[in-house]
Amino acid sequence: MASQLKVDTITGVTTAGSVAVTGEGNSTTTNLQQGLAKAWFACDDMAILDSLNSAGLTDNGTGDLTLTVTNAMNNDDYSTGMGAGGSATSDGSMRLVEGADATTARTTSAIRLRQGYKATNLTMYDDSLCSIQFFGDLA
Amino acid sequence: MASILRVDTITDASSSNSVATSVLFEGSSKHWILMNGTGTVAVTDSYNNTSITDNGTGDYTITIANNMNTANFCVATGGGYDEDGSTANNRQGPGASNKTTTAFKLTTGSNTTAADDWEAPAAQTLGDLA
Repeated sequence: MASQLKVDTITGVTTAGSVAVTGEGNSTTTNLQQGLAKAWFACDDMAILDSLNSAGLTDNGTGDLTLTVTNAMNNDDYSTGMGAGGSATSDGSMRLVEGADATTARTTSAIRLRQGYKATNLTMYDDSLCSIQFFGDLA
Repeated sequence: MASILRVDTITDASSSNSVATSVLFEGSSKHWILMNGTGTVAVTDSYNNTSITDNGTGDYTITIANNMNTANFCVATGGGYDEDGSTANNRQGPGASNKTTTAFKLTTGSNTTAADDWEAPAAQTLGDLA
């Protein structure tokens, strides 16, 4: 019989921040909290289209942006997934890479990115769809 | 005491948002890693990761602890060539290949076709656990 649980917050009994769920193959479990993206952004032309846990986007100049999260990560060792596309340029080979200058390393609440298309070096460009996800521990 | 809850759908108390537990599980990352890919490679932080192997310039093997159900899982990649960004020009990758249920290769490149080590490559694995 199908069942439905109505709840606002799920908390582990043994450890509040750890809930195990059975994997699809029914033989192992995975940690629910560890598997969830803690933040994600879908952006276009230096504007956020949709997001989770976003505190905003800062436009630092052409192809240079900083994404900030509301609820900070526990440390700056989080794993990021990122992609870019939808460029109107003839090159069309869009890139999204971390880092913009030697003094702006990632923090627990923000990450600075370069967005642009392939040339000899990255040619900075604004008007491109970009996506980024944060995986790791929340503070 | 540890407890098990068997349920098909989770809904918030106001019944305004619901999600099938199967969607929740399918959508969760089963593995993720941030690593140091230069010099002596090392795991910076990870989930469900056993080890990493340095196969040569820009070529790493990522080994997963609890196996995936098939080799057809999805790998999302990111991270940075230069962690502080001081030389973060156009870089190729990271790419994922040679997938098995327990491991995959992560390859990183330069701004040409040459392989190159990255300071902080990252990857996340989505799909079914065994």
